[in-house]
Amino acid sequence: MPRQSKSDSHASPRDLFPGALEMMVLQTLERQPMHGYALVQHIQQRSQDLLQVEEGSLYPALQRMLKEGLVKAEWKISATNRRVRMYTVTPAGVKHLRREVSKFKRMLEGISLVLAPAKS
Amino acid sequence: MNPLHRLWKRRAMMDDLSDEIELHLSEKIEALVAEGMSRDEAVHAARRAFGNATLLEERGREFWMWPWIENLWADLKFTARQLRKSPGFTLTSGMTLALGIGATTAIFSLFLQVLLHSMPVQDPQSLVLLRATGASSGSLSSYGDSSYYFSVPMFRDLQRQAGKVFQSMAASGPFPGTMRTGETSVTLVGAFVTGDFFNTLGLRPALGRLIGPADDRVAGSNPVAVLSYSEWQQGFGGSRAVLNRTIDINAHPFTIVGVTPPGFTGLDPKMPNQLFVPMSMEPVIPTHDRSWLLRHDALWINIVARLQPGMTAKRAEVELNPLWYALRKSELPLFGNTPSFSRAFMTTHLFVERGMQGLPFQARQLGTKVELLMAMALLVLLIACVNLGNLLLVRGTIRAKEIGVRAALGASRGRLIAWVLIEGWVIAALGGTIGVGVGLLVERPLTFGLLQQTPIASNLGVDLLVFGAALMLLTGFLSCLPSMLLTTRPDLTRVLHESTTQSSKGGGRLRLAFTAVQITLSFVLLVGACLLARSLYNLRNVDLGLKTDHLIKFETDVRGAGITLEQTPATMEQIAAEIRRQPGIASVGYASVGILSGDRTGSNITIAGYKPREGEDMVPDQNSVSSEFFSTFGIPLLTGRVFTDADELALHKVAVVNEVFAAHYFGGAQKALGRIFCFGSGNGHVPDTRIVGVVRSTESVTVGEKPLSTIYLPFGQRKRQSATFYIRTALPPKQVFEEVRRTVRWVNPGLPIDSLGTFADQINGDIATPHLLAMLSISFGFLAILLAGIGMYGVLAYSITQRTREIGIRIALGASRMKVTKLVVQQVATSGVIAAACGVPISLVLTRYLHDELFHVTYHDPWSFAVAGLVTFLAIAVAAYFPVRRSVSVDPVRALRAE
Repeated sequence: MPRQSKSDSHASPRDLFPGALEMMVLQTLERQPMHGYALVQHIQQRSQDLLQVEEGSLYPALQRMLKEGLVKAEWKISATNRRVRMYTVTPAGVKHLRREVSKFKRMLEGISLVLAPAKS
Repeated sequence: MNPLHRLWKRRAMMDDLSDEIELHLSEKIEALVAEGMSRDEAVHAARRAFGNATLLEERGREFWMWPWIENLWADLKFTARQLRKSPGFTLTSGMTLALGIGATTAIFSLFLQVLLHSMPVQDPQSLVLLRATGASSGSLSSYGDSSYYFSVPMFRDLQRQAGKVFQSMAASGPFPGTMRTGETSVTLVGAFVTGDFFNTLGLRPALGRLIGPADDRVAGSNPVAVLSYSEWQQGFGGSRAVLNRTIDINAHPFTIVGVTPPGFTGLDPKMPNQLFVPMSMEPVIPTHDRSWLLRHDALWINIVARLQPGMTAKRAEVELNPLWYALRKSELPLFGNTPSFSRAFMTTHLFVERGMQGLPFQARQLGTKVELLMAMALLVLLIACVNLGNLLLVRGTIRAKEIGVRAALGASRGRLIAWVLIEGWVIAALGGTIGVGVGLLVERPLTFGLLQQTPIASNLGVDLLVFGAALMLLTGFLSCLPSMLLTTRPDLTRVLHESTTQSSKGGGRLRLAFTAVQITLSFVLLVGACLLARSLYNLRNVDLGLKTDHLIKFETDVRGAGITLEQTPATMEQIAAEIRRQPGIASVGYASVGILSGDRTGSNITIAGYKPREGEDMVPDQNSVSSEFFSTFGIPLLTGRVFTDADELALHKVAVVNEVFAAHYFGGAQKALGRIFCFGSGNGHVPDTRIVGVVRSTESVTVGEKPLSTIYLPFGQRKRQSATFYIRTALPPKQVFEEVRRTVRWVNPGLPIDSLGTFADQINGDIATPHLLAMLSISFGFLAILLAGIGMYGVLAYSITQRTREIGIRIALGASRMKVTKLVVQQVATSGVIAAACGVPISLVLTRYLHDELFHVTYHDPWSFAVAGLVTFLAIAVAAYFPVRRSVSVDPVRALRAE
């Protein structure tokens, strides 16, 4: 899929509902600790570029999660030999993720029930 | 992460974020370059993809900020700037509070030590002290005073039967003695304690072990001793090597087995014990000639007990008294005494008192003094608060326009109040820090001055800091209260329109009222100070009936030197003779009971041909003295003769009595001569001692107490194991001290020399407490009037600045300068009249509480009131002088042009 235009990429984060970015970040980090840039790349690849996250918007989200103790950050040297700030998910973060995912699934279920064509 | 930690870390977090974003961008740029983009293009593309870096960074930071803290910080910075801009105001207000808070903190430390600081015991709430008193408590005690109530057999009886109310009971009895370690001998007060003593109190040793039940089983078999912590520190340098060391107590070897926890010196805070030995050792080193361990009539111990869980002191008292009476009844026949004694004995009531602070009597006595000081300090603090409140109010009025502008720009009232409050707290913190610092500095000397003992070693510093912080918050709040109420709701239209030099009228009356309050309170404090100062003057100039100048004294005790009671008079006489032989010594006398030392001894007497009235006190004081005692002290002989050396050899039993004794029992000095009496009462006591002389009465127990009826006996006839020597000499004291040390060591190296010093110093020491009390109250009084003066000056200076225009117009319109002066003076006079009208009655009510501290002064002493009034008047006059002069010198032309 070709890159979206600039204006589209601006619109897309607003289309994400609150908490969605958080869930994706936590989910990603649970599998493997990562630094910010890698996180953005990972999310874009995994979503097969369906989701375009404004790269910078990741950081306020990460700060919020740091403050709430959902993730931990640590300066490290990456495999590519650069100084990076690695984020790891905390046990509280995992719990939060489980709760949010199940909430999200229920919501999705509800929405799809409403959207499903009436069977009569 | 806790909030404080987080606040600390905030800066680091923010720096991390900036770094991180920077690194993110550079990584992206590299990736784009690797994809084949030019570096310039890559930089732009990366920034585009990232979004607004600054904004995002800012948003990321916000998570770490707390709006109210940021606000507070801004307010603090603003306040600090404002205060720096007016250093005069800051200094005055800061110092005002520093004085108030400093005084209060220092006194609070005393308060803590005397009233709140309990003994270092476990669960003091469940500890009680027993006391048994009745109609004539004192005469029942084997010691001269009335604070020892029980005999050891009484204790054992009670202990056996009081298991229902007490978990455990323990007793301690003091004994005077000497302790010899190696070459040095010292006198001390030790305590015999029962085996349960330390367990009952729940004390843990600082070193080694404490005395336990096993030490107290078999009489005379456990010569072990426990040192008090302070004795361990002072006498043994806190060395751990004291354990298992052998010391001689009253010439018997004891082994040191442990040290008590710090701060513990036995049950009686006024008679601290340096040493504790098992009660079972009493027969080995008896306090008196015979052991008191089994005697029912020797009342010399105190009992402490721990209540059973759920038992209150009141209930314990109710439950114990029937038992107490039953025990008394069974015990009475053992005494074989007179009916009046029996009645006194049987009417005693057993009191169960909370035992947290050692003996309640002393705590009460010192407590009232400390409470007095605390009240004075709080008054000073209140004045300081009112003063600062006034200053802040003036400041608020000056800044009415500024506040108005803020309000007009949308500052909420809460925000304005916060702003005022922060200013108050900053000033309070400023003054309070200085004050608490000063308070901590003077705590030690003050404690020593009043309690005559080094402060209890504990973490008092923390308590004081907490107290100081609380005071700061409170005073800051109180001082701001008037400003918060009055200046934070500005009438916008008026404030913004009016010029700054026209004052709002409303605050003026309030400020004047505040000034009046300050003057009133200062006057009250000054009255108290004057009363205490006069009392001190009286105490200093009281006629003791003694010549106290050029006297040197020291105490010694033969118990540690292996000298028997029989040999004691010879030893004492030898010491006196050796000292007398030195050139420059006028005379040397000695007595078994130190003069004005606070000690007294007495026993029952029977006088031939004298029938005591019902309940009459037949227990005069007695003192065994040498023949030169009277001339050394300059006590005049009224009739008959004093002792001769022949009397000292005890050929005939003779006595000299004082005038009070002669007047009380015989109605005059002459009538007393030749009368015969003996010690003891009841059958079998035959009068055998002839009164050969009558001397003038002297104050003998403490300075300021009435002379007591006293019998003097030749030391050789009524032997005692310790004596106080008095040396009359014109030589410099230092030289004599050396002489004394050398002589006594020469006579017997085992004799201790205790409290060697001049008699004048001893008297100064006696009145140290009233002296300190008077000095402190005078300081408080002057502090108060100083603050009130500053307050008065501030208010007047302000109001005159405000009224410059008005005054200018008046003068321009032809008012005489006199008339203008009158305007200001009227303001001052109003405050003065209000202060006088309130101050005198308030003082009359409050000075009543001083009654116990006053010596030969009534609480409504007119002179003290007059002096206080005069000082107050002078202070107001000085404070008012400069503003008034300024008002008179207002130049109408300039005042009018100033607008």
